Amino acid sequence: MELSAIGKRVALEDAYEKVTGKLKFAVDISLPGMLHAKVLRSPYAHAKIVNIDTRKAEALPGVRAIITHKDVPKEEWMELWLNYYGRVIDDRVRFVGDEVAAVAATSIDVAEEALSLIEVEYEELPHVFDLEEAMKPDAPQVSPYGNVREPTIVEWGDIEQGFKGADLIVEHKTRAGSQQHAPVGLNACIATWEGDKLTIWTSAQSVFEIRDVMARYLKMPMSKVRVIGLPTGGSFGLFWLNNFHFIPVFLARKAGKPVKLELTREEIFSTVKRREICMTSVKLGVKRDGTFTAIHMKHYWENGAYGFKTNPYETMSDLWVRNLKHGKFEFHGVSTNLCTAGCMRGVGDLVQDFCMEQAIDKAAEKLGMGPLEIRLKNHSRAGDPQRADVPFYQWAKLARPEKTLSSSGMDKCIKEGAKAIGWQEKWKGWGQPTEVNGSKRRAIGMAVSSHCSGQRYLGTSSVTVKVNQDGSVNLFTGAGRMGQGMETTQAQIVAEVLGVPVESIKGTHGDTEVCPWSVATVASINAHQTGVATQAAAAEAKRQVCELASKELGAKPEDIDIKKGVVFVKGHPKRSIPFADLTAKIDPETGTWPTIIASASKSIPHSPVARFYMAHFAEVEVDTDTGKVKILRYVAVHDSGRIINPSICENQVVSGVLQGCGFALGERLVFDENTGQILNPNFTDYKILKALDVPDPEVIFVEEIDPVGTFGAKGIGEGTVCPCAAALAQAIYNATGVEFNAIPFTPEIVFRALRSGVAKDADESRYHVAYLN
Amino acid sequence: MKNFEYLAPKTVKDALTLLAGDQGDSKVIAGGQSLLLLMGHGLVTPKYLIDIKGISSLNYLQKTQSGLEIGSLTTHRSVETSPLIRNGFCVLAQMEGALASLETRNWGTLGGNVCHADPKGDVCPVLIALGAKVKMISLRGERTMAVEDFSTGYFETALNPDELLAEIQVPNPAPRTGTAYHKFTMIEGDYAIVSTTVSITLDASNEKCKDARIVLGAVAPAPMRAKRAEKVLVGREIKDSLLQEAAQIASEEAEPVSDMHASDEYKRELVKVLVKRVGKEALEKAGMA
Amino acid sequence: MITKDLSITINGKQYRLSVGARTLLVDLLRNDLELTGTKVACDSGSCLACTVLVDGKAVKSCSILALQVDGRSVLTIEGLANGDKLHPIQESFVKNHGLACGYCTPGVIMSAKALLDENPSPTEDEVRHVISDHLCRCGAYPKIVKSVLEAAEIMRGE
Ligand SMILES: Cc1cc2nc3c(=O)[nH]c(=O)nc-3n(C[C@H](O)[C@H](O)[C@H](O)COP(=O)(O)OP(=O)(O)OC[C@H]3O[C@@H](n4cnc5c(N)ncnc54)[C@H](O)[C@@H]3O)c2cc1C
Repeated sequence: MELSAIGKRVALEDAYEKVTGKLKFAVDISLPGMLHAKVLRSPYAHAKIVNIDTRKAEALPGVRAIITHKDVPKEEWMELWLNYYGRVIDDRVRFVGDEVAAVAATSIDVAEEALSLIEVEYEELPHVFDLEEAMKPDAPQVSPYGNVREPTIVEWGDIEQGFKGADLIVEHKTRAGSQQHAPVGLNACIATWEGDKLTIWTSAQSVFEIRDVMARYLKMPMSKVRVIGLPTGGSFGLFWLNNFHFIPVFLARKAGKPVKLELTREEIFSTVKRREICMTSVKLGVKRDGTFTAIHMKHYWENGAYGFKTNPYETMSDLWVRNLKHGKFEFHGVSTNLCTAGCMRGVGDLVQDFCMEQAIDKAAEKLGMGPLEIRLKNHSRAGDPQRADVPFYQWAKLARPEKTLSSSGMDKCIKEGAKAIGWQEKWKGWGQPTEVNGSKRRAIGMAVSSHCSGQRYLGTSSVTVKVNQDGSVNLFTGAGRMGQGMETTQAQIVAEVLGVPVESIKGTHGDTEVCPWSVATVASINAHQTGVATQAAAAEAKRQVCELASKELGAKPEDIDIKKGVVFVKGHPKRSIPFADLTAKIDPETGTWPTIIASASKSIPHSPVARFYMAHFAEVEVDTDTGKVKILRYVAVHDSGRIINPSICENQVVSGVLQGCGFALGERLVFDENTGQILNPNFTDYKILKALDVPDPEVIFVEEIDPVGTFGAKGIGEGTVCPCAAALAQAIYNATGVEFNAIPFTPEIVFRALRSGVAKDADESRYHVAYLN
Repeated sequence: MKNFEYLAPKTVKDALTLLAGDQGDSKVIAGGQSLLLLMGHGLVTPKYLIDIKGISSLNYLQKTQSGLEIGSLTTHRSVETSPLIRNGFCVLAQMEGALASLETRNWGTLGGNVCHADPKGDVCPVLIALGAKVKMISLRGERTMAVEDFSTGYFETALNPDELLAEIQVPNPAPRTGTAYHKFTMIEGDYAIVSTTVSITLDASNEKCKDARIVLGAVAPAPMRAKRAEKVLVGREIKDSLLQEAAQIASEEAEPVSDMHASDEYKRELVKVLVKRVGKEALEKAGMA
Repeated sequence: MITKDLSITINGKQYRLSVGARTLLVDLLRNDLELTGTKVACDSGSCLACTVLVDGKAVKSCSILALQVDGRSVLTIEGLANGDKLHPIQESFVKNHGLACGYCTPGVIMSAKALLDENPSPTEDEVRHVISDHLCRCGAYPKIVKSVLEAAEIMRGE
């Protein structure tokens, strides 16, 4: 297929606004008469609010509204992916930083001063921070529904039988600490009421979800809630629907004025959301020849105070099913008195993959196989069964058709990556460095992973395409603009289908009053799943244009095509008319210009299901004197189907590699032992890898064209973080002979492990950093 | 940030006059790279803020017979890029190159860094290793003091409330002296987890160590000299084993405390590694000097 | 509130303003002058999203009082393009995808501008050192480096 727009390095649609500083994020918005909000937060991990007195604060000049638990509904609100379940403000606080009251005032200074005048009497309650402690029956109960969620299970065959059939059984356990999304942008939300209509401006990846949930919670018609979704400064799961969004809404209603709540970096780090702390175990049955007979994975996820997740399965149950007759994947969600945990880039897959990959490594080493060989033997291929969304269908009580995998380029990912890193010459065997120079030991390592390309059950997105009289095109989607390049990618799809230059397309995204409904921009959804709707809308617009042209060119509509802005009769390129001439022409019959508007609501099919795959290869140097791990080379090979825009995708991969390697080597939230408070809520103490810390990753796309996705595209954004920790851990193991099974492996943790020969973090508090016992 | 009155004296004299009337409620601001953060978080709440950044007579870097004289308002970046520094004091330039961001170094001053007295700071340890002094001035007169004595504790200095830090004086190194600096960080260009500066002067035969300074950063309330470790080196030929011995002693002398980034134990281990490595580098430089 | 007079040139335009002592340069730009292209992303002086040029040097506008720039000249991202004509650095960023979400972009571009004004032929390593202090969570670093190097070439007239 010869493509004109797809596969091209088209500049970002909004690049001009971005490089000139004209792009408006929510923090940049200010409305006439707008008030500023500040939130009073709990100093306790767990307490009951016995009394709250706001009278002094109300008396302060400039204060226009104060809300406490008395001013918000008694009911809880629920985030659709269970990232939150709780009241907006409760009479009980469940973590340090939890909302207690909020003030709207004429300035931030006044609002802050008012907070200091609110008198709160707390009755402290026992708290629990540790995942395992929280599961005990006598643990302090964080959630009104108990600490432990009903487990979700994906299961097939009979694992006991599967283990019986194995020649080798490997058991492995891993842990991971908590990472923060740490986008550069700041969260902000502005709410204003005009009569019974609510308008919200916020930087968000989940625009329609905010509208829908907000409307239901406020018992308003969805048509009277308008969410203007603005671009986010990165997001990675953070600019979702969060509890703070409700605060300016209630304040604005009480004050009768627009209210803006802008969170500080400290608030973003310690009160919104973060990656969960978790513990994973894998039992893997393997035959002598390396084929898997059974996998039993148990994953325990710490939800923090208001996370309610019971199911972060994305694709781990489906990645190794080629030979796998028996599998059981269990998920247990647990509440604690820490800041709410929830979705972050690579949710579920990253941490589960870490455990799975290490279990596979252990098995391979015991069997005398290399890491490539065992993976090549077992990874899923097109046509293999896919079961990860079974729990959804069970919950929704829907019949679930059998599902199979649409495509897999895993094979190529592994082989291409091996070639690029020089595997043959550098792989010296398990626990064998490639080079030792004094205290410096070098080795390579690799790992693979997968992630979902959207999810059909999340809903059916719709897209509108309008062709104007001058031939320019407007594109409308409800998707979130989070720096992932969606505006450009979707425009490329329209350009390809409609045969017009991509520059002639202008997108409007995420304004709920203007744009058609879309699934939230999550789960690497847009290229693959939203793209299907965009493609359909563009095809319908094309149909209308061809119909118009049929009169003009004297040919049947189906014999007409459009390329490079020219409408022509197939096989007769001379019988043509420029696109813009056609759309400007007055129809002699009707006496008016044509009005071309096309919409489509379309999703991906139930089956086959697309997953995207990657194999990452790392070469590291471990300084055994200090424990510092230096990444010397990093090769990331991705099968995301057809790459719609290579530059956008390369940025996605590099960002994932920096975040994934950062998580592995040191990015972690540190919680106070006594209060659970996050102690490093800033960019000085929370260490993020930048351009000098990792050499530029070499990014390779293998482009296994997917039969389902738009032009064969699959997802990419989220998965990019998934294999990093496992690849680095394997490389470090090869360099030093010491296995790291708890993320992160900071220099000190590496140092200690090298001294003791066991990967163990000596830190006393278990929630302080993850470690393995 | 709490409100304050902003005063911008144009001359040193005006600044000192303002300081002389200080009732403990004023604060000097130079580049503000550290101070404004503290004020932003409400940790420092002066009533008067005396901005000296505009006093150009305190912004200079010059070479004299005895060494370098650096006006306290000289920016980090000027130090880093000055040809005077690059010839003979390159350890200062190297240290500056990894201190915070270029944007911080463009505005932040050397004097401000020294007065801020952050135990994790990079400037003081290197100045101490180089035997630098500071000149302080007030309406009462001026006095000089070794940088080593100037940093008295955790964010504390010997500066009196009516004094300004006017100048930093770095003596010419003795012949056959090499100084090297390294900080161990979590990420590039970050604050030190541990830093080590070693200065070694060889005797005329170029064999034995005539003088040595080992300065440790971020392992005590203020930069500290590992004096017992220095003694191990002086008068002896420096071999790996001797450096090892000095490193061991230095790590015992260090008084690190655990923080969220590293435990005290680990910091001691890092001191051991750094003294050995940096010592070796200093020795090589001394041999070539 | 105690205010003081401030005389300042911003993007070539002369301003006489009355500002509060504690007004940070970034607040003056964003709140008083509605130049919201300069971003704020941290409260620890460490992200560089707020980078602007003061007398040609890249500095953090979050860590300077507005009154400290009295009599000086400030250049922000809004002042870089010549009307609708992008500066070659901006053009290069657009072309080479030296950005993703765009939040750190104004700061990165201003630092690049200061670098190239001072050193028209930086090495890749020099560029990397300058831009690496900027927090770009979208990881556009490789393409930022490329954008700056290519802009340098174009500005040199190569
Ligand atoms: C993100 C970040 C990273 C950093 N990383 C590092 C690092 O790696 N290493 C490092 O060493 N530093 C680092 N710093 C600290 C910083 O660079 C310096 O401390 C800063 O440059 C101080 O200079 P200043 O002129 O801005 O001082 P100011 O902030 O103006 O003043 C600091 C203190 O010194 C006093 N003072 C200033 N000048 C005088 C004077 N002449 N006489 C008397 N008192 C005076 C002030 O009253 C104040 O108490 C970092 C800072 C930031 C924000």
